[in-house]
Amino acid sequence: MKKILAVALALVMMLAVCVPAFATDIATNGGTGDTTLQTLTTDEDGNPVAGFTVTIPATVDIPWGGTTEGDTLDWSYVSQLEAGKQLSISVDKASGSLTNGTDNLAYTLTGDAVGTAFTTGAAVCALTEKSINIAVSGWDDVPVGAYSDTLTFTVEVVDIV
Amino acid sequence: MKKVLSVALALVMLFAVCVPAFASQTITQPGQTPVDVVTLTTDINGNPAANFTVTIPATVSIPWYGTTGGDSINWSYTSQLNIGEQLQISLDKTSGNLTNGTDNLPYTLSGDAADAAYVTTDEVESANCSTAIAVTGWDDVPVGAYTDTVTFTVEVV
Repeated sequence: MKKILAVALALVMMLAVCVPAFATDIATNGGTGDTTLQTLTTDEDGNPVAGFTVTIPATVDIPWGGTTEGDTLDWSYVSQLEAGKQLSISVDKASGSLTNGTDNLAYTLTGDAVGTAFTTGAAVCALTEKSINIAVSGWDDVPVGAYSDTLTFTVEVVDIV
Repeated sequence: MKKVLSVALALVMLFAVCVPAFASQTITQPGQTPVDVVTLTTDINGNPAANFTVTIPATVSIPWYGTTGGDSINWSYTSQLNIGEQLQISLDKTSGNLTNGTDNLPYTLSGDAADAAYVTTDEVESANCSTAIAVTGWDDVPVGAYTDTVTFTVEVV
């Protein structure tokens, strides 16, 4: 036991002598020394900085018979990711049925993120607005009422290829 | 041969007895005689005694967006130089780019040793100094580790 303690104490003493190289001393005439400036990926409170925001509407109201210019689902994104990363945004369907539980109104979607995931192409993207077109058919074939369906957006951070 | 050796040894003994004239003064008359006590500029081992140390950080970490109170290179010095000498501490740049190899974050330096070479005022002096770092363009580049090197040069002038 005494031998173990002696060895342990000796190791502690040796480690205490070791001075971490956090500073450089210049002590000669004409001598030089370097300081490296380096950014962190966290802010001053220690919070990770890289991030993004994809904004989608909670609800899209479609007037009966549709809008003359066409109905759309408007969404947007902004990002500041780490180098080499981009956003990949997709919708879970390209078509479906608005339903009241009994009757259905068929619809199709076209535009970015429909069918194929939309990728931002860069790590830093300013606020960009996007739009998905909604085409509903069969207005005359079903009782008038509230027909609904749900679209799911999926956002991922992926490598820029 | 024996006689030659005897004479040589006698001469050696005589020289050993002789005390060099520059080690002392012989006072033969009443009065005042000065003795100069003089310091050397070298220590007991013959090494120059004048010295200084300027201590700089190996790395300065800057949080993304910077620190609210400002970021800086904090350095210090202590000196004990020869009479009439002073330290002159300078940096190799007053501005530059922190880079990740692809993108850049511009920065400027100000304050001690940046605005102008820092020169001490006394031969014996110590102080803590600070060089401010201002980085711009945080929102324009991907988040990551961006670096650059600042070189300090110290001269005795």
